[in-house]
Amino acid sequence: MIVNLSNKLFEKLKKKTYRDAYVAENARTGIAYQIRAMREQRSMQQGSLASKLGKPQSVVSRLENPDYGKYTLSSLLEIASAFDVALVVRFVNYPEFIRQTRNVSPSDLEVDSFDVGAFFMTMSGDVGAETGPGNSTLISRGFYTASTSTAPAPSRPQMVRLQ
Amino acid sequence: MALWTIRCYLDANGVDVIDEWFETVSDAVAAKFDTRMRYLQQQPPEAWKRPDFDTLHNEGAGLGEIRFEREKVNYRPIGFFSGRMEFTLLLVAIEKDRKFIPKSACKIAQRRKKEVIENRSRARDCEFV
Repeated sequence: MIVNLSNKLFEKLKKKTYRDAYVAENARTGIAYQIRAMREQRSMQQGSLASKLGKPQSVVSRLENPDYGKYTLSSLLEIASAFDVALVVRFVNYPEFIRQTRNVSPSDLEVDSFDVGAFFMTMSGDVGAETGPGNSTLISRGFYTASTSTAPAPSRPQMVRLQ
Repeated sequence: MALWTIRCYLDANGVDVIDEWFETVSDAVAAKFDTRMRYLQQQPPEAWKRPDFDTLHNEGAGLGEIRFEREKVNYRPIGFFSGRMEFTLLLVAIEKDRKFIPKSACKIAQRRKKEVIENRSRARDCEFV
C-alpha cells in the first residue's frame, strides 16, 4: 500500500513533541471512532452495547467520545469480547503507523464478529500456503486436518473441519 | 479518503486565520485538531454530530462548531457548510462556562461567512494531516 504522505505531515512529524502527541491523538480518536463504527455496523444503540458490557449507557457514550482517552487494556479486551472481535495492541514504526491510520471512514473501521464459516474461508488460503504435511498452525491447534481421502492427491492438501 | 473539503477563511490581507491560530497553540492541541479534522473529513454527513460537532443557534444560526478538548480547554473551531460536502472554518473560539471567548465569536463568524459567500476567494482549501 502506497501512502501519499503530505509534505505538511512529514514536516510536522520531524518534531518529537508533535509526533508523540499525534500518536496519542490517533490512538484516542481511533478507538472512540472504531467503537462507534462497530456498534453502528451492528445497528446497536449505545444502551444495548452497554448491556453487553454490563455498564451504564453513559460509559459507552464516554468510550465513544474521542476526548475521553482513558482506556485500559482490560476495558479494550471487554469491548473486543462484546463485539466478538480480536484486539491487537503492538508497537510499530512510523511508516507502518501512518499506513494503518490513514483511512478512517466508518467502513474502514468496521470489523466483523467471529464467524466459523467466514474464518475458515479467510484462513484456508493461508493454511494451504503454509502447510507442509501436518505443519499448519491451524492444524496443530486442532481446527482442521488434512483429508485422508484416497482420491488422487490434489495440488495442495484438502482441508476439512474436525468434528 | 476524504469525503469533505475543508476550507479556511482568509482575512483582508490574505492571511489564513486558522493557520495563524494553529501557529499559536501547543503541539498537543495541534495534533488533536489535525487528527479530529482528518477523522471528520472521512465521515458521512450524519456522523457530523455530538460529541465532535454541533450546530449553533440564535446568534450562531447557520453556523456549526467542531468540538474538542485539550489541556482542559474546550476549543470550538466555528464555520459553516459552504457547499456540497464542504465546510469552511471561520475562526477558532474557546468555550468557557457555556460562553465563547471571544464573546463576539458568532458575530465575527457571521460577518466572515457573508464575506466568503459574496467572494469565494476569501477562503482557501486547507489540508489537515
